[in-house]
Formats: sequence, C-alpha cells, structure tokens
Amino acid sequence: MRTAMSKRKKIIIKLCMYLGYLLIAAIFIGPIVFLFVSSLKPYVQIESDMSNIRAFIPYGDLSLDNYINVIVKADFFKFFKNSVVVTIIFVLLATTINAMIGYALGMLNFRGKAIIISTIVALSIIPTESIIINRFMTVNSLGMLNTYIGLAIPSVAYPMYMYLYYNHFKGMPKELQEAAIIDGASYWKIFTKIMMPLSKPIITTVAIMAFIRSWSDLLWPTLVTRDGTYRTLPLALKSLFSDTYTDWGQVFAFSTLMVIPTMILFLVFQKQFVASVTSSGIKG
Amino acid sequence: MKKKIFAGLLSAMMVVSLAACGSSETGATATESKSETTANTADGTAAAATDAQGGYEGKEVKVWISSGAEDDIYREMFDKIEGDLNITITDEYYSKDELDNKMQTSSIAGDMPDAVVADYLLIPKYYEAGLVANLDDYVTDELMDDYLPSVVSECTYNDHIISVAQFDSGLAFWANKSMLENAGVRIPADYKDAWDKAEFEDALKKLKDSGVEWPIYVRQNKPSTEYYTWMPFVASFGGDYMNRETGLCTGTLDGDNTIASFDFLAKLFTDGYADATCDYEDSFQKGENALALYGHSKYQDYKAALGDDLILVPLPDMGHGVYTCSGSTVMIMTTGAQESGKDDAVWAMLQEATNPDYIKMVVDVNGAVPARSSVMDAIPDYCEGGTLYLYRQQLESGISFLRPYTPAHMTIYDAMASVIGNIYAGADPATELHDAAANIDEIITENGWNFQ
Repeated sequence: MRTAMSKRKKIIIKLCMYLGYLLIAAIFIGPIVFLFVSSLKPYVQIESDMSNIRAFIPYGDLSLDNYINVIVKADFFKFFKNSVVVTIIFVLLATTINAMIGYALGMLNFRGKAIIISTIVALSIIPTESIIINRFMTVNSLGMLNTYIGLAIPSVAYPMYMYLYYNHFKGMPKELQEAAIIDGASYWKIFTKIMMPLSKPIITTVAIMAFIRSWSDLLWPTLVTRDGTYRTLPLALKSLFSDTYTDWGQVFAFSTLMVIPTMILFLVFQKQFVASVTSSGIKG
Repeated sequence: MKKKIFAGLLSAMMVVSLAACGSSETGATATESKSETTANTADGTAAAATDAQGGYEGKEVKVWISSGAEDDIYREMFDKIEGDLNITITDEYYSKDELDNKMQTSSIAGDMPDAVVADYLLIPKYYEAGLVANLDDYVTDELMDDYLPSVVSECTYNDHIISVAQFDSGLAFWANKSMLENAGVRIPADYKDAWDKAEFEDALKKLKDSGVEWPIYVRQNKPSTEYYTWMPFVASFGGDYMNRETGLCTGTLDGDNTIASFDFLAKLFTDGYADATCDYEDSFQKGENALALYGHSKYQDYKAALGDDLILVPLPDMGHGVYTCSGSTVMIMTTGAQESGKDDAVWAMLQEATNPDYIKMVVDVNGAVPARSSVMDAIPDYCEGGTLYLYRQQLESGISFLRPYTPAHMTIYDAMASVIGNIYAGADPATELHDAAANIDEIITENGWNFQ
C-alpha cells in the first residue's frame, strides 16, 4: 500500500517537474514562434493579433510576401553579405590575435608582464561606448571609414578574450614548451603547432563570443558606415523603424532571416556554446 | 633572446591593437578647422544665390533622409526631380538615430551631405554646429506667403529661415462619432468651441458609463510619441517643456503647471479612462476607444476602419486656452553644399520639392497637412466641411505650439520618453519631472546649449 502511494507521489512529482520544464521551454521558445508566425502574416493581422494568444498561431492570410519584400525591396542579401564578411574577419582576427597575447602572457616570462595583465583586467571594465568617438577618430585618420576593415578590426583586441586565453595558457603544462624548445622549435612554431591545436575548446569559446558580438553590433557600424555600401544587418533592421510607421511584417521577416545563421551556428556548436557560457561566466 | 623578442613583438601588437581606444590628435585638429570654415554665412549664400540661375545641370547632390513612411514616395520624387532638373541625386535613407550620429560625425569624416530631410527638431543642433546653411536669400516671398504660419515657425531659427517643408503635422482627437452621440457627449464644431476641462472630464465619464470600457487611447504602447501629442495639454495647463528664454528646463518642465498636466495624464489611467496595459496599436480601430490622441499619420487606417464615423475633435481647454502641436519633417541645405559650390543645384532641388505637385504627391501617401495653403485648397478634406479641415483651421489660426526648438532636442526627447513610460507604469509625475529637469539641464549646461 505504502509502495503504491509513494509510486503515485513520484509520478505526480515527475509530472509537475515536466510541466515546469515545458513552461520554461515555452517561455524561451515563445518569442521565436511569435517572430516566425508573425513574419508570415500581413501588417493588419499582425497589429490586431499583437497582444493576444493568436500572435503565436499560424492562421489567416499567411504568405511569404514579407520575405519577398525584405529580400527585394529592403535588399536583405546585400546587408547579409556585409555582415558575413565583417563577422568572418572579426572572428578570425579575434581568435588569433588575442590567442597570441594570451600565449605570451600565460606561457612566457618577461618584465612588465604583471602590469600588462593588470591593464587588461582594468580595460575590461571600460564600456565600449565611452571610447567610441576616440576610436572613430582613429579609424578616420587611418582612412578606414566605410570599409570592411574599419568595421572589423578596431574591436578585435578585446580584454575579455585576452584574459580567457591568458587563463587557458597559464594552466597548460610548461613541460610541453620546454620539450619543444629543447627540440629546437621556435616560439612561433610552438604557438602554431603545439599550443593552438591543444586550445580548441577556448578557441571555440572566443569564436562564438566574437561571432555574437560582431553579428549583432549596432553602434560601431552606425558610425563607421558612411553610405549604403557597407551597412550591416542590424543597421538595416533599425531603419525599418520610425516614429510614425513601422511595417511589422517586414521587421519580423527581416529578424527571422537575421536570426537563422545564429541558430544554425548554435545547433552545430551547441556543446561548445554551453561550455563557453559556463567557462566564461558570460551570456552571449 | 628569441623569447624576449617574441614577447616584445606580441606586447607591441597588443598596444597597437588597443591604440584604437586612444584619441587622435589629427582627427581633433581636423574637426576644429572644419568647424571654422563651415560657419553660417548669409553673405556667401546671397552671392551664391545670385549665381544660382541655371548652371547646376549635371551636378551631383547627396541627400540624407530620416527614414519613415515616406521613403518610397521620396525615392520616386527624387527620381522625377533628377529628370526635371538634369542633376544627379543620391538619396540615402537612415533611421533617425543613425542619421543623427552620421550628421554629428560628418564634418570629421568629411562626407557631409548636400541636403538633409529630417525632423525639424534635429536641425538646431546641426545649425549650432555650423552644418546648416541659411536660406534667407533663397526663399521667395511667394513661397513664404503661401506657407502655413506653423510651417514658417518651424523653418525659422535664430531669426533666419534655415529650412523648407512640404508638410506639417496635424493633431487633434480622432473620435468615433457614434460613440460620442450614444454617450450624449457634445461634439465641438471647431477649436473655438472646444470642451473645457470640466466638460472633457464629464465626456470621459459619460463615455465610460455608456459602456466604452476605455474611452481614450493615448498611444500608451509608444511613450516617446507622447512628447509630441501631450504638448497641447501641457500648454493648455500653462506649462512647457523648457523655459524658452533661458533654454533650461528646471522650473518649467518641473513647474507646477507642467506637473499638473502630467498628473492629469496619470489620472486617465488611475480613473480607468485609459488602459495602461494596452500595448497594441489598433485599439481605436477595434472600437475599444471613443477618442484617440494620435497625429495625422493614422488617417488612412482609421478612415478604413470607421468610415463616416471618423471625425476630428479639438483638444480641450484645460485652463489656459486651446492648443495643438505642430512641426514635422523639413529639408535643409548644408554648408558643405555651399562650400562645394553645389548650392544652386541643392536649392533648385528644394524649390522643386516644395512645388504643389510634389507636396501633393507626398501628402497623399503620409496623410500629413500640406505646408502650402494653395495645395490645401485643392484637397476636399482640407476645405470647409472636410474631415481634416480642423487641422487646417488650427494651424492657420496660430494656436499650434512647437516643442522646444533647441540643440538639446534629442536629450529632452529621450528623457521624456522614459518619464512618460514611467508615469504609465505608475510613477509619481512630480518626482519623474524633477529628476528629468535636473538631468537635462546638466547636459544642456555642459554643452553650452542654453540661450545666452
């Protein structure tokens, strides 16, 4: 009798837990469903469904018109290409340059190292917004405004990435390096042939963080792009809003297309993504 | 040794990479010299205007436009003007924030446009920065005489004409005639006949009692727009957003009369006349409200939903008179255009854009009030008995109130968006306005934007 009771209790507890999980999952999936479903609806229907449960239900006059408008009229793929190019440059440079700095600081001994590490930690608390005008003027004087390089390079050296690499290399066995030096390897060779291949998890972490940072960056491209040629996706999305009129159908279709690469990336690197969140303590 | 060189190289690379964080002396110098050469020169303008008879053909004009509902029609218009004048127009569309950022950095980047189409409230900041050309010697008497008084006001800054406009904004209550009639509410014939405070409160009560759950919609889903739509109420309570003499907010934005107007706004929610949780745009179309405090831009949507039941009702007199708010998109010529000798082409373009045909082309799309009386004469809606006649009557009679015309506009706009959002959420208006006034004044003083 007691066993049957406790079995029933266990089932109820499990049921409640699963209901809780479902609720939490719904909270996370809800906005994505809302986004996707609304992107298929005409403007008038989106407005009337906006704040009730129908916003999550695909019904009514569904079509791909918003997507066609976004691709043809709003020139989505032009901005998509720009975002892809900038993000690739940014991710490649952010993962390698910061790794070099992290390696030097973590594995080598030289004078002033402690000061450099303290400076990096101190720099990480300075908000990007507070130095953005100075950065803009530097990029301007280097003649890099309105270029892919100008969009990608200035934020490549990022204190957080440096510190992550520094911590990673600091924890690696020094014997590896010593053995390589005895075998006559140069520091460049040690870095590229030994250290980097052994650093895949941290490289993935930095790459994912860098991807998210670059893909969704709004402020820097606002200043650096000077005409339509190099505008990125967040800027193009922002221009769909105005005080008097917002075509929500286009906004949702544009956002859906913009989110797809991030979702694909997340699905492919799911494990590494979770590891990066837990290891860095930072959410993307 | 190798190790030291390698470590040194890596450290140097880091320093170079981080150098982007530092300031650039060259850039700063460039800015200063640019500012010196872009001062507003009325004399230069006059000389250029004399040369501006023809001679602009083949020139290239770059226009930056604050994007909105008019984007497509502007593209069409600029294409036509290109053909009309035989000039090349490069029109680029940016969100308001992006345009503002780009304008502020354009003298550093050296890519100032030749003309800008933007909210008139953004212009003083650019003018003070030496980016906007005076148009005193370009505009004709014919144009100025045909303009609505409110348009002349929005185009004038520091006693100079600095912009031209195709249209102005219209603001009154959109009302559902049947609902007002069912509730036994008197419908004012024109602005001189507007409700007073007691009658307005009584109207709201009657509407509520007649079964209209939320008698009024104030676009609570977008608090930033209330900076515009609540202005007539602030004025009618005897308040203002800024002391127009000093250019500062303390004592005015948080003065007794302004606080009283926002107390009244808060009361609309606490008394159950407006739904604080309404986060959607089509409340009025759905028949949830009898009154909507919304500008001209909703005309087409509201007309489609309500048909002949849609009427305009003047805003009430809350003690200090009946007011409306005006001011909209304007077109400016930059000092960059003057320096590069393109002012003739730019002025020809602006003149063409303010021709009746192009004005009508744009207002047919955005529903705004045509800037020229002659254009309104040709549109039945703006003639006596027309649905939008009240807009015309209000703007022609000079009861429109402009939001503060100051370089600090974006600062006040952002602060008020958050103040109003907080009031919707139940915050105390007096506390919110006191804090906002102090914060705004700090920024105004730091930037020297107060009027000396």
